Amino acid sequence: MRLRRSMLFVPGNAPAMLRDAHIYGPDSVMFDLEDAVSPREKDAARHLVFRALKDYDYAGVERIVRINGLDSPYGLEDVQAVVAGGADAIRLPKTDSPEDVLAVEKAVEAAERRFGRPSGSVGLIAAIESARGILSAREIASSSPRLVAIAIGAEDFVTDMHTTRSADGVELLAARGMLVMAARAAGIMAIDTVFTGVDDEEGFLREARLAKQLGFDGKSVIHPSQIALLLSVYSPSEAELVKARRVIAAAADAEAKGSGVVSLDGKMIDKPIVERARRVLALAGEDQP
Amino acid sequence: MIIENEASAGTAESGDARVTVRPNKGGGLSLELRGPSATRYGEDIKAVAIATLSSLGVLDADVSIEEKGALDATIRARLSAAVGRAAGVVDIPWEVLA
Repeated sequence: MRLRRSMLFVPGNAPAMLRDAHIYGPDSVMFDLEDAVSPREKDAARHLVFRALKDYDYAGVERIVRINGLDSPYGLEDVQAVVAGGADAIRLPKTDSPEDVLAVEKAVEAAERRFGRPSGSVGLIAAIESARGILSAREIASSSPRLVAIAIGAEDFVTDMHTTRSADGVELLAARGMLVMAARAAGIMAIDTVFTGVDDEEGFLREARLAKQLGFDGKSVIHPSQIALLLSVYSPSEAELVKARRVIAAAADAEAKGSGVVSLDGKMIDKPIVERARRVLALAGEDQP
Repeated sequence: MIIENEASAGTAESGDARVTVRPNKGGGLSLELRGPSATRYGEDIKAVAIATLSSLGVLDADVSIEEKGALDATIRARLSAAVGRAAGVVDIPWEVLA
């Protein structure tokens, strides 16, 4: 299972940052052609990101590119460069409806044919950043088999909601809940929004713990220092690991005996407990077949 | 691609390169390189630049590269961006830049 605990945003027009992005150990790097790049540098950033994808070895770290919307003058050419470069996935900004996903899917399919990449090899991540998008999250999440995750973009969302971000995140609670549920129902991942206070470690941890508790699989980050913090939030404790290993062993034992009932220390273990144990092991990199 | 206008791409920041492309009709390729790596790696950087120009079908151009410790990938990206701008081409033939 590919983990997406941390997705590190990297401005598309910063050559040194593009080169070094993976050394901080994120699960994914996300090269940004959208908000981090001024309109007059859109073309130059596209060339840099294309070459970074082609020439640098990111040592297995997932390479995602946030493109400009197809309703902008840049989106379609972004798709060409990114698919030609060999990106693993494209992040769509400001997704309001399933049609937004389908339009990018169509462009990506055409680009895969043009550049001789296998059909379906480029994944999609839809970022939802408006009330309309959140209310369509369920339809968006199931709109394309290419979707590997949906993400919430909080800054635009709270603006759309006529509010601002607060320390406890109450203004995002309903949206986060709806987004995670939509992702789970579609069988894809949910990625939380960025936390912009780079020096506020405590605030970041509070928000990351909340997102994890709600069911989010990971979080977008804007600074490398936030990657280790996310790892600490998402890594199971030794006690959790030991317990999960024992649950999985008991389940394997029951299966080998042809028994439908799993028991451990004299207690019956329900199927959801086995599933949670699998997830704990996956987060620790101990994947089960 | 035919270089119609003068155009630049890139910055003078560390790890980057500033590439300027000018028309040189019928004059072939002329290349000028400045920067900390020019003495030691100058020939390699020029070879990379010429390969990039030739893949884009640029036969005539006056190119100047001011590099600040840029890697080959950055020089190639800044050069292809400058060529796109100087030739007025928006839809880049990415497949030839492989």
